[in-house]
Amino acid sequence: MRKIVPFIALCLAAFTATIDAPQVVTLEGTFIDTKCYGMSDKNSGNNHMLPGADGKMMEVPNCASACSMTGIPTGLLQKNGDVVIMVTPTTQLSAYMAQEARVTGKKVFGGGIMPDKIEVKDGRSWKEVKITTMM
Amino acid sequence: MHATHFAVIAGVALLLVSFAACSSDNSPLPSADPAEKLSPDTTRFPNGTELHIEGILLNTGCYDESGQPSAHATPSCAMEMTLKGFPVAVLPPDQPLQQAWILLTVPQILTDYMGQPVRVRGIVRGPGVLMPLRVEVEMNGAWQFIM
Repeated sequence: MRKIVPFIALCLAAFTATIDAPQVVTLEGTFIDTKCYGMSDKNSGNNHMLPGADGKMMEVPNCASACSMTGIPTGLLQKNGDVVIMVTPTTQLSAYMAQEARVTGKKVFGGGIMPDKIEVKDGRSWKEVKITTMM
Repeated sequence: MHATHFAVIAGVALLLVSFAACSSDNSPLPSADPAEKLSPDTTRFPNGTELHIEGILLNTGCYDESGQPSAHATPSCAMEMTLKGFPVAVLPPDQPLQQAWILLTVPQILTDYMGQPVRVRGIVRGPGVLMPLRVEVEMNGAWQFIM
């Protein structure tokens, strides 16, 4: 009995750790500028429709890339409509806005993925995007 | 005779009322209580829901892949990561990192407030994702408007 109790406790601890540890996931979708997409889900491309000074809607070319350069978080818009935020310096993804992407990483945050690997569609194949994520 | 009938009918009615009371759904309804909104489960709210949350302002770049603060997770790390463009988030008190709300905003605006208690009103844009409409920081016991 004395041997069983620590064994059970160890199994329980290991099981709990498995549950709590963020799992590696691979997600596919399109890189979006989350600010403009937040205003309208039509703004999932690189050019966005925004109200001009006169209040009329106008097309802003390369808006997503520009927003990303200012530091607005980049999101991965999945086919089911869910958006996951990229936990990475957003400016490093500005060149890939509105592109199809595949991201492998851990969902450390409920709404964000910490990427280990980022790929964008290059023709029919995937091309890896090198990013710096830590200090 | 009439008294017996009345007693039977009353008994049946009492049984029916008791049955209805027992079988009714006693689970709590989604609450609009502001106090409940302060530490919401991030997966509970559909897109477009307006929320008020309170917590500590952190930078997502200062945590490792296991969800633990990195060795550099200090206010200075948060400031540095914010300047690098890592998203910022609000972690409600006593909640795991999975319950943090990432803010859809330019992180640099919040650089000076990393590690401080903040209060945010915003619109849910996904599980754990909030577009802030108003952000306040607690200073000297009062809430100061940031953005």
